[in-house]
Amino acid sequence: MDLTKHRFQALLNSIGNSIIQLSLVIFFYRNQGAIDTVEGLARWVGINRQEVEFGLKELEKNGILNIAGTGVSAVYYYSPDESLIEVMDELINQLTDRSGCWKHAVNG
Amino acid sequence: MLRLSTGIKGLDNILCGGLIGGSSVLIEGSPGCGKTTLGVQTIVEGINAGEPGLILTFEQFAEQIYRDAARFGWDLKTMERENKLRIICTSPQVINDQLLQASGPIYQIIENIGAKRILIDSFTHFRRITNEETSLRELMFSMINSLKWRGLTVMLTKELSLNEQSSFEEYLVDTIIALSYQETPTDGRRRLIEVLKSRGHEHLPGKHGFRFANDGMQVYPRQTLNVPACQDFQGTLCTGIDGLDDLLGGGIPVGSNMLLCGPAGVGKTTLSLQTINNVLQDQSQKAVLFLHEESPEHIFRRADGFGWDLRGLVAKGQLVIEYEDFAQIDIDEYLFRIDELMYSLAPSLMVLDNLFTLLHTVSHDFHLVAEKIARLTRIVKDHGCNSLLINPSTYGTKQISRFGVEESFCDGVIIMGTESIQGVRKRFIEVYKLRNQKHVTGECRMEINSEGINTFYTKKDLL
Repeated sequence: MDLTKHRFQALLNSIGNSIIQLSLVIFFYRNQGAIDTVEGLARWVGINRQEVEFGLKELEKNGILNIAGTGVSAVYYYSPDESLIEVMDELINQLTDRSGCWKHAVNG
Repeated sequence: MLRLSTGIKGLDNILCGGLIGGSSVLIEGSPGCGKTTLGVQTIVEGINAGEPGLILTFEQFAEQIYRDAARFGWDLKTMERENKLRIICTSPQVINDQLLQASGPIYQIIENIGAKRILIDSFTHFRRITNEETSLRELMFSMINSLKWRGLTVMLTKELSLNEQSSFEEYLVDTIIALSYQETPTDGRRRLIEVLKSRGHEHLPGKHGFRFANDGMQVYPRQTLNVPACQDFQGTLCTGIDGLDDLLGGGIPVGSNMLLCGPAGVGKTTLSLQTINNVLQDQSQKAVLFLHEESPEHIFRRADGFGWDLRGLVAKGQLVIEYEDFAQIDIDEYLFRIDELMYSLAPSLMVLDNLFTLLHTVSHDFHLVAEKIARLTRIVKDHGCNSLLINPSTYGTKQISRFGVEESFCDGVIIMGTESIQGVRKRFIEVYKLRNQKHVTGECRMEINSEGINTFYTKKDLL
């Protein structure tokens, strides 16, 4: 694992503390071929557009998602940085319970 | 012209060889009728044949598609890991935007995996972009063309609402496959598939039965594609009932369908079992017995009573018994299975107990009854087999068969009956019809004793 413990923990905290990011990261992890706009992704995860847009930007910043295009037709897709690929399983394991549902985020 | 298998043998037969490579296919039907499964099966077949595939889904999560596919033994996750498949959860708007550009993530995926088949599930969702028919038509036309130019075979599913008339989608695509799940008059439902259009190639018309088996969809064409040349079979098959073989003029002519009519309890099944036992004394012969009412165990016990070891014949592989409760029978599937069994086993005798229960699902439609009997008798003939088709008749009626058409499709008819003479019920047997063989006409006394059926007729009587 190239990722330092410190960075992994920071990622875990960031995602684990936001239901939006948590929903998005689990959606993309389980549907790794997904490619959609903010509006489309809001539908897939069942959360309103504005909140989803913020979450997507955070995940892009953290190197989990990539973006193509601009404006309303910009699409996000799962493309974790090379250093993240190996830790995604562990990350998802820590964020979900045995039934595969996400664990409650600390700060909503 | 490149033809692509759908992975469904019966559907490839209906399409007279499969889909045309690089064509567009609309799979339409009401909810739950199997549109996605048909599309996924065709994608999987492509992958197995070295053609990677792409599935675009607008409502179903990839996880759901993995799960449903696993039921049929298709490991889509592994196919994705091996870069042979991509399942893309997306929106119609994204497809519209992406496909009209020269590049973009979706085209990158198509190029990266070398996709040759694509499933868009479903086109109905494009109504999220616009409900205006002209715009939708243009959008669909551009999308199909854009994919075709890249060498892909395009499959689109479409949700069909009740009583929907022809729509623009049907004009734009090369092939239309309609699926339905229709109620039957016998309180059941039948899954049906129909090719409504096949631009550039022939197809078998009409609705054909299908079901979901363990390995995917199985389609049962209602007619065969290639009619084999008429064969001239020689010889006779002896029933082992001396008097009856004499009445028949030596036995049943090879390649014949014989209808065995009579009311309940007259000895039709006994006659059939006796014939099976006799034919299989020659260890090179095989027979198949289809049962819809009595279980194999009942039949074994009945045969044991006459000293016929049918269990032993089953153990030796000479006799195959297929039992299915008649309430579960789908006629097209059943005929398909008979055809397959005839092909794999090559039996010299087939006994069907009975024809009425086989036909009950189509009993409301005289034309369908005639069509199915014609198909059944053709299968027997094509394989050079002999059949004994047990057909129960109603006691006391003059009618030979239940539907009044069975006898015209069969080469021979044996009637069994009883009559009361001075208070004692006597059995009789009659060869009512037999094509291409000199036989004895008229009723003849018979009995069932400890050794089976005994017919009181010898050649000497004729002299």
